[in-house]
Amino acid sequence: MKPETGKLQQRLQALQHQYREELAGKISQLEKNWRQFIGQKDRQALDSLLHDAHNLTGSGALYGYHQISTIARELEQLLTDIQKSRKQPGSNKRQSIERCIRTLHLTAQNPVQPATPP
Amino acid sequence: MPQTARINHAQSSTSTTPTLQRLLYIEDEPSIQAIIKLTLEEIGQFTVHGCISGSEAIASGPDFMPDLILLDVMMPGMDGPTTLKALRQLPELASVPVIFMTAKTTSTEIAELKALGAIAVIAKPFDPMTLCDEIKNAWHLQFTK
Repeated sequence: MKPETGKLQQRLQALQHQYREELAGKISQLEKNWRQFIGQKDRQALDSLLHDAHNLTGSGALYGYHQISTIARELEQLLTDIQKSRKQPGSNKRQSIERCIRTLHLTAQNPVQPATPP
Repeated sequence: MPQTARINHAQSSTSTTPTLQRLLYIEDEPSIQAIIKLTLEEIGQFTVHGCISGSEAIASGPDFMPDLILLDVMMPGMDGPTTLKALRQLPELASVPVIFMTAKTTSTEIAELKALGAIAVIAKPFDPMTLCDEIKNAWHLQFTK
């Protein structure tokens, strides 16, 4: 039995709406892990942060929020470098990461709407 | 139960490929998991069971008896390759075909994942409207090699 296209599109749109509603929370959680890592030198927080960035890269692209995905990918790369270096990040790297997080917040407040559901 | 007995040998009228019906997918990100579930059920008409981690898949996968496993690569704790290694230790899942899903899609990375025994690697982000076709193509290909 072929799926009902209309019903499928409705469900996809509902997921997309839910994703948009949750996007700010995802970014806030990411920032929380960043503060934890920087403040407490908590390497577990770095692992969680990297995971958050990776997931945001993937889910942002999947749901059509390509700008979010691009920024998250940049963030993911910066964090991967820190993870590999096993050191606390220098000021340049911190500023780059802070900039990414700020941009994510701003973009999430007014994301470019995907043209069609995923 | 012999491994081969679990494969659904209901034949299509035009090929000898066993029917693909039961899919186990392992994906830790809830919003991505939701799209996968919707796509597999509504477009693929598959019977699906989703797990958010490798350890959950080890615990519940054998009882589900999947025909195919869809496995995310980057997951916290047990990543995809580690999960695959653990699943292969379970008699019920030892020979179930696996497809990896990953954003890392250089030819070297794909080759490394296939060397672990995956029948295919699907790139992320995937297109929900064509995901099932990619899965079915990989499934059919392994029976026509």
